[in-house]
Amino acid sequence: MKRLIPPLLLIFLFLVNPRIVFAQDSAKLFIEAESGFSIHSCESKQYGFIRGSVDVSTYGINESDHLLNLSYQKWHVGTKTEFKPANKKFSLVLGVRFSQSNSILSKSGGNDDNTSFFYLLNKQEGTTTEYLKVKKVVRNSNYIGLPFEIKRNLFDLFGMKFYVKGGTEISYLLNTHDNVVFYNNDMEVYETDVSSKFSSPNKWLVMMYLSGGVTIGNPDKMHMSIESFMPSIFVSKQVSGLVEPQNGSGIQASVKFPF
Amino acid sequence: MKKIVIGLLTISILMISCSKDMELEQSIFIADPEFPGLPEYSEWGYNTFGAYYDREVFVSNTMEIPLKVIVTSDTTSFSFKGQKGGSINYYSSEAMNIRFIIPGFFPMQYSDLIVLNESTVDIGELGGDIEIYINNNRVQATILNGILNFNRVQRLVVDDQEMQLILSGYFFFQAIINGEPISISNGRFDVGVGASNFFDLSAL
Repeated sequence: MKRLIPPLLLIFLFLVNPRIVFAQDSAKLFIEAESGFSIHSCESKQYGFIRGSVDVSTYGINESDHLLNLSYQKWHVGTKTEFKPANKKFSLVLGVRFSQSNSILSKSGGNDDNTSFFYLLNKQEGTTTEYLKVKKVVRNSNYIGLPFEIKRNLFDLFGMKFYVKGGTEISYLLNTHDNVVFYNNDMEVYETDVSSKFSSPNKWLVMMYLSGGVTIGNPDKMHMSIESFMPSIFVSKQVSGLVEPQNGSGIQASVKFPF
Repeated sequence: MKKIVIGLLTISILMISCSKDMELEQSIFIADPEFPGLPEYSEWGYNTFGAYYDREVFVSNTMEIPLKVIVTSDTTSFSFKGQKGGSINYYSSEAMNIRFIIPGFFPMQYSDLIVLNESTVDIGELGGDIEIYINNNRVQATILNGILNFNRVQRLVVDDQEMQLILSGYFFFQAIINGEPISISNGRFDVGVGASNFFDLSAL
């Protein structure tokens, strides 16, 4: 724990006043409020307790009717401090971010209520096997994290300033909640049983991203930025537990105030 | 008028309940990487079967009901219907049907098949027989030896309602077919049996 104190102190000082950290009085400082989201593709996964869930390549006929649909989205809000040294080429950004991820596992190819479910093996006892018809499983996970970014200003065009950023985010899982949508509402008593069949999400979420954006307004006064992430990559494994997200892309908007 | 409304309502309810269960009656063919052309052995009620007919494949397809259980006054038949040769995606091959006939076993309803769990029927010893049909014509076959193994029979309950039995197992046999010795090898099946493919003809 003692080893964590120096870096945490540096982060705290950076958030309060980066000039203390970098000892540059001529540098500019901005406080930023941000919000954004990203959508990620998901790795094909084999669930041993879902009927028809196998690797896509091993399917023969009817494969499209039996595949599962996996999706992962993440949105965030946060506040950051941008420290812009005197040369204005590079700036450092550090902040605090609250994120919520939304993972969904559902039946693919189910066009109506009668086919939009999959069979989940609930239990096997002796010669009796019990399936549940499940429409979808939704997992919401909340995180608190620290984003750290390096920003490079590129060029001005039509009064807008273009930039690129490289960043990383380290987040800690605050809580997670599963919502199972059953074909038959009476089966909700089995929600905990279904939820327990999926892995828990990783406590730590580490991701890296590149982004490019544009600043609108006078960069020395209050201004706003819009940027696009591409790609956004998870470094940590078993991010969701329900699905396994891979590369993603997204957008973010922020408002900055000089400090 | 009342009768028509009640009739229409009944038909609607029946249609809805049938469509709900159609998913379980579909075939899901999962290829076995070790035995090309055959489905992987499974116990999910995927409604598939497969075996090698010498070097050709005899497999279920999506056009035919893969298994019918037929009870008569003196036997019970397990009739696997599919195709010989070709690929699961094409129907240009020959229609083929193999019936395992077991004497002295008379299930009253499909749920009585649960007694077959973890059992093996030795066709030769019990005096059972196997009939083979190719393109709906019975071929002359003398069975040399063969087994039908029910590795697992499960009572399937979906959303707290009993739906069907799942029969999973293996089969093989050797026979003289049209004067030529033939091996049916590496046979495996994973099929659901319910009211729609269990036939009691004992009263006929």
